[in-house]
Amino acid sequence: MIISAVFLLIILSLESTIGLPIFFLYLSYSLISRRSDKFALLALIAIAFFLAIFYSLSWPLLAFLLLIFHIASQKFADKLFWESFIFVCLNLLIFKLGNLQLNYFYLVHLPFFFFYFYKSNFKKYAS
Amino acid sequence: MLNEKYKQYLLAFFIVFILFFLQFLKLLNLSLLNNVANSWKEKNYVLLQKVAHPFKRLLMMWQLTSKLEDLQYRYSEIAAVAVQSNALQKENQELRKILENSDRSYKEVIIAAPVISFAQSFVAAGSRDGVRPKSVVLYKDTLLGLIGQVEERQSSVMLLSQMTDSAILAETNTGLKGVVKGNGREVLLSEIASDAQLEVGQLVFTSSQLGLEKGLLIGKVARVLADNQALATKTALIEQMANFYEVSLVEIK
Repeated sequence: MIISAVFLLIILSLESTIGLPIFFLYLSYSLISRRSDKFALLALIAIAFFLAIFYSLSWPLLAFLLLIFHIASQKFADKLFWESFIFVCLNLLIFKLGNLQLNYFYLVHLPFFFFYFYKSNFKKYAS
Repeated sequence: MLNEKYKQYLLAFFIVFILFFLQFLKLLNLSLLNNVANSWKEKNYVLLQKVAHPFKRLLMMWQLTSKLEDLQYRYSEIAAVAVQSNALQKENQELRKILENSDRSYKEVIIAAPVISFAQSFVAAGSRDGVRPKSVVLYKDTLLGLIGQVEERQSSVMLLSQMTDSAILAETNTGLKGVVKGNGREVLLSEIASDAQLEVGQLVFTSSQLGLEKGLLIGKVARVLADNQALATKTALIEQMANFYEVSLVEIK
C-alpha cells in the first residue's frame, strides 16, 4: 500500500508537470474504489489534498468534486461508457480550473493512457 | 434512520464543508506545499523537455516542408517586388539626372521609355503625348536618333546607325565638317577631306542645319577608315556614348 502511494505520488508529480491528472486519478481511484466506503471516502479526501498541492487548486473544492465523481461512479457501476464519460468530465474540469495549457506532451501522454486503459479493461474481457 | 453508507457519505461531505469553512477563514494555507511542488515540477519539466527533444525535432522537421514552401512563395513575391523596385530606382535616377541638368533647354521635352520590339526601336510616347516626326531622341544631350513614324501611343525611332538614306551634318570639336549616316550596324562620319587631321577620340557634334539643334553630341571617333587612299574623302567610325538599347529613359524634343 505504501509502495502504491509513493508510486502514485511520482505519477502525480509527472502528471502535474504534463498538465492532466488522468493517470493519477485513474490509478488511485481504481486502487480505492473496491475498498470499503469509509476507506474510499477518506482516501478521496487525501487524493484531493495531493491534487490541490500539485495543481495549486482549492482542496475542499477538489474533495467535493471527487466525492461527486465517486457517487456518480457508484451509480454507473458496470456501465463503462458513462463511467469513462464522467471521468473525462472530471479531468476536463480540473484542466479548466487549473488553467492548464495544452502542450506537446499530450501527444505521448494520451495515447499511452488509452493504450493502458485498453489493456486493463477491454483486453481482459476479450480473453 | 439513515443506514451506515449514507452516514459515511454525510460525514465525508461534512468534512468537505469544514474544509471550505477553514479555507474561508484563511486557515487552510497550502502555499508552502504548493511552492515545493512547483519547484519540483520545474525540475521535472526540464527532464521531460530533454526526453521530448528528439520528438520535438521530428515535429519541427515535419513542419519544415510547409515552412519552406511558404518561404519560397514569399521569396518569389519579394524578388518580383525587388525587380520592380530596381526598375523604378533606375528610372528615378534617370529622371533626376534629366531634371538636374541645368543646360537643358526649357522648350517642350517629352520623356519616354525605349521599347524594343522585333529588333525595331520605339519609344513609349506617341501623338497623344505631342511627339512629332523628325523630333530628336536624346540621352543626356547625346543624339541617339530621330523619330520616324508617330502613332497614337508609340513612335518608331530611326537610330543613327539605321539612317542609311539620310544624313546629318556634323562637325568635330576641331572644326572638321562632315556628314553622319549609318550603314545598318554602325554610325559613320563621312565626307571628310582626305588631308584633314581626323584623329581617334575627337568628339563629333551636330552642326547647324534645318530642323536639328546645333551642338548635340553624336559620339567620338573610334577608328578612321582609310581603305582606299585614292578617294578624296575619308570616313570614320563613330562610337556613341549611349546605347538606345541600354538606357531606360530618353528625351524627345
